[in-house]
Parts: sequence; C-alpha cells; structure tokens
Amino acid sequence: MNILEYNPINVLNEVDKLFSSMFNLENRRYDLIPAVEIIEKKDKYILKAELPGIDKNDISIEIDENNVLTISGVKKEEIEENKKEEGYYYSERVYGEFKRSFQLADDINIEKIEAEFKDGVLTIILPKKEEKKSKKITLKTK
Amino acid sequence: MANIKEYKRDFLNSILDRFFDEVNEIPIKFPIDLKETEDSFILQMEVPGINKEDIIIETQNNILKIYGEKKEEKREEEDNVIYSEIKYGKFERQFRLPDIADADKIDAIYQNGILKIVIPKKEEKKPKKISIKVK
Repeated sequence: MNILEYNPINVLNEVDKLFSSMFNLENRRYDLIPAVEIIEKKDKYILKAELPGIDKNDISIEIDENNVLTISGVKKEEIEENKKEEGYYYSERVYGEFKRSFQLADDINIEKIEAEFKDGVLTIILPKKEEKKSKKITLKTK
Repeated sequence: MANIKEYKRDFLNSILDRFFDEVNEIPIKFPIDLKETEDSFILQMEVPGINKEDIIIETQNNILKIYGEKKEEKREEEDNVIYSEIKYGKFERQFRLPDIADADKIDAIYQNGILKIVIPKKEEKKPKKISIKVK
C-alpha cells in the first residue's frame, strides 16, 4: 500500500455529469439539480441536499462498488384533490427527475452512513473510519 | 381578470431604501407556484430547511408579504466547507392581491419544505351568472 498525498479538495469529488453520461452510455439531462452542501467535520462529513416538496419515498440513495454515492429521484407535482382547478398562472418551481453523484473518500465508513429527511432537506451523515483518524507520532531521540 | 401580481415598490423608493439600508443585502427570492381554483388562490413557495418560526406572513392594503430569514447552522472553526450551493440569509417576496381575495381568511402551512398559502375568494364576489331574458 502506498502513502498518497491527502488532498481534501478532491476528497468528495463530484463525478462530472458529462463523464458519467459517457461511461454509462446514458445520454440524458435531468430536470432539476438540487442544491448541495458538504461540510467536513473532525469525525464525519455532512452532506445536505435541498429537495423541497418531494416525497420521502421518491428519493433513493445508493452507493456502488466504486464508492460513488448517488442521490436520485423524482419531484412530482402536487394535485389539489376535490377541487376544480382553474389552472396555473404563475409557475417557477421545477418538477421532474434529478440525480447527483459524489465520489466518496476512502476514509468514510460506508457501513455507518445515516440519512434523514426533514423540512425538504436530505441530510446524509458520513462518519470517518476510526483507524484513519490522524495520530500523533512522537519521535524518540536516542 | 383578477389576478395576484407580484408587487414591486417603485424605483425611487427602492433606491432610497437601499441607500439608507445599512446592510445592503438583496433578499433571496424563493421560487413559487401560483394556482387558482374555484374558491381560492393557492401560493406555494419552496423554503427548504427553515424553522416555521422564521417565516413571517403579513397582509396590509391588499399586499401579501412573505419574509424571514434562513439561518445557517453554527459552524466550528475546524469545519471544512467542501460544497456550498445552499443559500442562507434574508428572503422576501410581495404580492398584490385582487379585490376578490379575502385577506382576513388566509391560511398557511409549512410542510416538507413547502410553504403553502391558501387565499380564499370572497363569497359575494364570486362571479354570478346572469340570465338574459329575450323578449
């Protein structure tokens, strides 16, 4: 095993949509791109994605064999039941499918990933592996 | 047609406001959908990740004002921000209500990151059908 330079900027590198479409041979654009925030803390990473008005059951989170985390799903339009609609006259919200992928760092403990969905925000907690926490090495002088 | 229109203050006032505003901060405009049904107008605004208490809805002179602040979680010094696409700060939008809207009976709920405001139409102002008699 090699010792590689640790570069935090590349730690959670988003897989470019263009490249993923090339490799997966899936050539489609998604309707919406949810806003994402990733904060690295001492013992974990916290990933937040804004998914307002989306049903919990319409969100899927997957981690593949290459440690790529994918959040995908569909945002459906709410239909007023029991009411005769006279239609929209103003619409700025975007509906449809979404998908975003992130390359996870090696120091993440995949077994212990947790996710929560509250007030339209998906929060994924990615704990760091215990053994990879930085250790202080004391130098012995002879 | 009686519609809800976005309300903008006149140019001069907004310049003056900005001039005297200590914090020269332009509020966030969250996206909305506006629908009309038989008996009401329905306004839905995407306001994800906010405390219900931080949203204020006011009506005055037929202007519906929705404003508040989306607060960021406290960060520690050692935190390292890798991605930050989420917007935080003050937000505000104003709408001019039509006469037919009943401003006293406005109802609002916050669920799943969506603020839903139901503005009922006044009973007496519902369009009436008038039959024309032919002589």
